[in-house]
Amino acid sequence: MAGIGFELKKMFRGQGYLSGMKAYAYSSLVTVGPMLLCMLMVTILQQMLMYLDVSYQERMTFLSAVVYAFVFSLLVTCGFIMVVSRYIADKIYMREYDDIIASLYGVMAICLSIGGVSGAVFYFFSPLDVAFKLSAYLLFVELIVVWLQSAYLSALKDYMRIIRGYLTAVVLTILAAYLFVYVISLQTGFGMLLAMNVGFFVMIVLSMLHLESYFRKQERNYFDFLRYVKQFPTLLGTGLFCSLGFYIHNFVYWMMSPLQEQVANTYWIASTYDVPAFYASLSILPTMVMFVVSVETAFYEKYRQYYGTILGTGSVLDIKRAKKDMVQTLMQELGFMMEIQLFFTFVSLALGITLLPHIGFSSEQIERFNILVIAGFLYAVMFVIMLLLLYFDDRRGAFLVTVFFVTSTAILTVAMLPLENYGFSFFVSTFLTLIAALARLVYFLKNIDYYTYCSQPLIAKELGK
Amino acid sequence: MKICLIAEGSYPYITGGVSSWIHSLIKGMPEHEFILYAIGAQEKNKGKFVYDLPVNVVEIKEVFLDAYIREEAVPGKRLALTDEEQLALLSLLEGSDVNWGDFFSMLVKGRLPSVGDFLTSKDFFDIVNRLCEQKYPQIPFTEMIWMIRSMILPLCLIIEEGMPEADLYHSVCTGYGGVAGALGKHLYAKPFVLTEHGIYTREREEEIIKASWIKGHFKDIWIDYFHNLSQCAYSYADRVITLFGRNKDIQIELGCDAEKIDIIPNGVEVSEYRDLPGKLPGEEDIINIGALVRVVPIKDIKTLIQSFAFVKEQVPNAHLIIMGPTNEDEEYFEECQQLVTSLELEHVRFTGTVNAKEYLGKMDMLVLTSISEGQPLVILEGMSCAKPFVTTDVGSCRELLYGREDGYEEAGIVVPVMHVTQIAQAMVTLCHDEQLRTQMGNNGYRRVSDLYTKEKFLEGYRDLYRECEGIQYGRNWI
Repeated sequence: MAGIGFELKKMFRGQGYLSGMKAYAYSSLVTVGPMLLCMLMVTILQQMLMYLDVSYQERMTFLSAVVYAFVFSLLVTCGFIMVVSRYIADKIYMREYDDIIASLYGVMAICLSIGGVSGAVFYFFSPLDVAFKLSAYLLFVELIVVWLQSAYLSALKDYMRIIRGYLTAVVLTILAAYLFVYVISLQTGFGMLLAMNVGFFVMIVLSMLHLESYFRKQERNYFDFLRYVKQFPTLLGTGLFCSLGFYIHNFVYWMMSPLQEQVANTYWIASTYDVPAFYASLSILPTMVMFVVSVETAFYEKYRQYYGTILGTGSVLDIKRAKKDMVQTLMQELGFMMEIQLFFTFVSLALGITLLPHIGFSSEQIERFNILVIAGFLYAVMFVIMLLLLYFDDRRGAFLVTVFFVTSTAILTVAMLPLENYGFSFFVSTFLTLIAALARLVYFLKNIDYYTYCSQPLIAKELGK
Repeated sequence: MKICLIAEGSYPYITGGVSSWIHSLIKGMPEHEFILYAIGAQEKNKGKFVYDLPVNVVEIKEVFLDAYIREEAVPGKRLALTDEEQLALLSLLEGSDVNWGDFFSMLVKGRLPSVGDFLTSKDFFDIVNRLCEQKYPQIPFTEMIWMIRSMILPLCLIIEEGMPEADLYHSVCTGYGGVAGALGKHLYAKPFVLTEHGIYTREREEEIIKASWIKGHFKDIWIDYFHNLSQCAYSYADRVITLFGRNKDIQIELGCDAEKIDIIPNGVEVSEYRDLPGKLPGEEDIINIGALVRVVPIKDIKTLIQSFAFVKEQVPNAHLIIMGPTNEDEEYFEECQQLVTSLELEHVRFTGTVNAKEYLGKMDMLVLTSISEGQPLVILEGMSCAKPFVTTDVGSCRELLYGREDGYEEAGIVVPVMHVTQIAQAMVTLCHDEQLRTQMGNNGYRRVSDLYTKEKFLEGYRDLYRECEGIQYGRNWI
């Protein structure tokens, strides 16, 4: 989310209601754009598959391939995204734009090696058709690139162009799907997978052109950002655990619960749980958008004032005042975000109960959906608090929160397996983690002066010493 | 007896009055063993001694005030300081009376993690916060916290290091050295003697007022701080020795108990200055004005040069010879040289470090234009060679030249500090009157050989040490 704030503030600054709405729309698409589009594509293609009356087996294979590509590419990248986001933000702050694009290549090389090898091993043992395997593998690899690119794209200002790129990709995917399935008559699931490959490939190329045109000057410090991995190892862990916690209950159900299914001797899934979980996760997108907007605008102003007071010549009383101001605004914005998210949670619940039965949800699945939507609400708030901790550079706090999140979800999910109340464990663990995160935030804010001063070196050293 | 002698910023790293005083004290007391506790300014000087240490120095411990640059910290500690400890720290920072015992016990190894961790701990931060809220609500907090850290870090490191064990602690200044001596007494319950040549608090005060790197509102805090360090030494010392009456008055004014103070003046080996080489043939027409000083700002060499410019107008055959190391403050030395050039002065020489005895005999008079002095050895040395003096009215210069109604006549002319015309006038007077020079020189010679001999000085300290041996502190409670 580096850099977006300044641009957004410009949009919000007294330009009336409409431009405000525009900013909401833009920021939402830039930050959660690729994820949203991915979900959208899966939903559309899934509907197409159902409409085409494709066999359950084939539909499930397609779906599993996409889910695996989606989830595991996120897991591979999200730790690094946390680190490079910090790297990009620092580089932009220091006006050293030349190293930025090189770090994208560097982080791509690392994530593609990790993902490439583990994906290859995974598919090597699969009895699936070679062509299908290859395109499933390709999708996984492409998504790794997409996630990494999105971290860099959010640093750009040209929202319209980013959105155009994404939409082009969606349209091309659907066209390609039509082409492959109806004109070339490929096997439906495979055709659609291929279509997604085409779509994401176009997205990657467009994003790359965009990034290259923005960060023109190229240095060769591809792995300069690895200093940050060394310097801020907890960032890597925070990113990884945050996503891992979000999916680990699925993994438990895939591997250990009666819901488990094995698709094509390759994928373990639990579709009666995964599909409600997938729809439920859509309900938290508003908060992700809200966070960007409210934090980067209203809150950021106070945040800057506070640190400005410290860096400037603020007396102990000035600092106290600025801190009070900032904390107040922060709590207001947090409360506001929770209200908005609560609204969307209710809407999601209502929509889910009304619409989901039409696409074949059983009442059991609706129940899972409901509990997961509520858990999603808690997760969204917890996630925002964790990002706030990172804002204050409380990396330790953020890390501890995510560690707690992963372990509590894993332990509770395994422990509650006999209850057969799927999704409840996730709800409980998000609830506990939210409390922990809030406690940490309150504690940190209480001691923020101390943390700010004492995370500095003991004495000011001259550069180069 | 094993005596721990504590020197700050002098022996054995730089030459000068205090250093040679220490050197002759140690050499003159072969019956005692000395542990030298040397506080230096910069770590890069470690082991670079400009003196050959006497054989009875059995151990040397070097501590450097810039060692804190290496200090690392792991922040986030909670130390659970007791109320007394908090109060000790707070009072040190705000410049009120400190309970040094609590402060020592807190910092001496074991009680706390490293000094770095201490200064980045929550407890420390809270105390600074409290201090600012109560006393400095308008002062920029960030500057304050950096300043306080850099202010007390060297002190904390010295305390944390502990002290070598000895039978007696003898510090030759207050300040950090004085605190070190007090710490020795605190740790081992052994007597502590303080000799103060210059008045540390006053010297720091002058430095701080002039320092450009300390902002106005922080100057008081620094001054209070050094005042506090001196208080520590005064209150712990069993005996306080000073060189002359005027200093005693200042010490009392600064809060030292008058009962503790004794005067033991410096002394020189007068016989060593007999029959020094005189002027070479052909130099008789030249009047040599000598200054046996280190070229540093506190000696105010610039005023000396300016005064000499006036002298030169009236006494064209006058030469100025500045004898002393020039490498201690090279920037200042350069400025002095530039001043000579810009005044188009001839016959000004910087000799660098020299053997004074080769030069002193050639001089017609000696000058000292210091801003601050204790009891300058150079005056005693010059008087031993029967040379007349022009000195500024600092330290015991007036006492040495004019005496305290001791029946000896004047041995030179005392002038106000930095007063260029009066300094010049005094020199001109002496230049023009050879008889006056001889007479004043002889007066000085008589005074020094009766009152300021090395034997008297050593005897004074021998008695003092003997007396301290008798001081018992009940049980040894460490």
